[in-house]
Amino acid sequence: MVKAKAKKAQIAIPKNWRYAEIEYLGPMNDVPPQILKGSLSIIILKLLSENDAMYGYEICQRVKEITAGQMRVTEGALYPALHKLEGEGLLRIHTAVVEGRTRKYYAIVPDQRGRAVNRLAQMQVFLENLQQVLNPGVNVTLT
Amino acid sequence: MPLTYDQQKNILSLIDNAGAGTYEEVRNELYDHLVQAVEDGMARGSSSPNAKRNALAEMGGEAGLVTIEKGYIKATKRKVWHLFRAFLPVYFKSVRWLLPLALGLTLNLHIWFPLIGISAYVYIFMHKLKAWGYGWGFGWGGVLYQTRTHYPLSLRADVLRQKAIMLVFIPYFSTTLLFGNGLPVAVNIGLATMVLTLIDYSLAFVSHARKNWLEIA
Repeated sequence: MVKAKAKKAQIAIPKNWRYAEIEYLGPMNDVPPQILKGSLSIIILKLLSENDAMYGYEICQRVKEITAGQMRVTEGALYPALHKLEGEGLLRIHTAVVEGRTRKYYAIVPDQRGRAVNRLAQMQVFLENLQQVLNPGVNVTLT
Repeated sequence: MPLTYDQQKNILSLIDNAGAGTYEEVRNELYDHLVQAVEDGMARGSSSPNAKRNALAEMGGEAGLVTIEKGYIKATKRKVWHLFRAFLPVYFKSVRWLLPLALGLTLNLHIWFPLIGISAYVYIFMHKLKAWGYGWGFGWGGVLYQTRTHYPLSLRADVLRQKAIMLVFIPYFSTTLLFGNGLPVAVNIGLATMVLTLIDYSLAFVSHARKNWLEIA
């Protein structure tokens, strides 16, 4: 049905079309996308673990704010990532009417909080190990 | 700066024309996002068309909107499958699952009780008929046949033998006519029981999901 509608609207969707998840706009901004790939779900889980509930646009703005505009979550990739985490049962949604519009809020499912924290911890350990490889002998602990 | 009614309507048309407004959950989400992005763009000094163009570009253009909806469909299907499996212990905790099982068992009993009856008849009459002058043997392929052990036979014994054969085989043939034959019937009924259970499980799941997992109902 989606395909049919897209055809009707004459939108050419390239095969294997995929939007870059995160854009890095800081120094050395030609960071290969492979390095950034997979970070989006971690960013979402981190933000949601610190906040009760957030909506998509708010997440994008918060990332810009935290990284002083050097990192930008691409909206076209954010929603699929949110939907995927929801599909995995990690996130739950609730809606509220704000200024006449239905707004969808995402929050970590209470009994899945441990799973989310575990994923964040795994990434942290990985980054610490990476730091050890990049800077041998320097004791780096990420907080 | 809040958008006018026409500007808001324009954004909704954009989503619908892109083919990404099939499901209200995605339509509402994209609409809320785009309206807010356009409002923020206008607050930073962009004109309304420019702010709209930029907001759409950030979403990956119209193709990006379609991809978001596709992703939503895929994720929702995965979520429903996840819940479908999670419902398993809930279903078997209630006594509801006994209903299709009982139905299947009842059908099975219709098959197996007459067969048990036949076995009993055969067993009894094998002994009786032996006394009346008949023995039993197994021929090629397991076919049961009668042998004469006495000569001459009494008429009484012969009439009884005929009645016994009728009593044994009438229930057997009537059951066979109604339900088919032996093991394949039992297998079919087993499958029917499983299908019935699956149907009942699905119905119970939909009902449970509507009550408890409102966001997917």
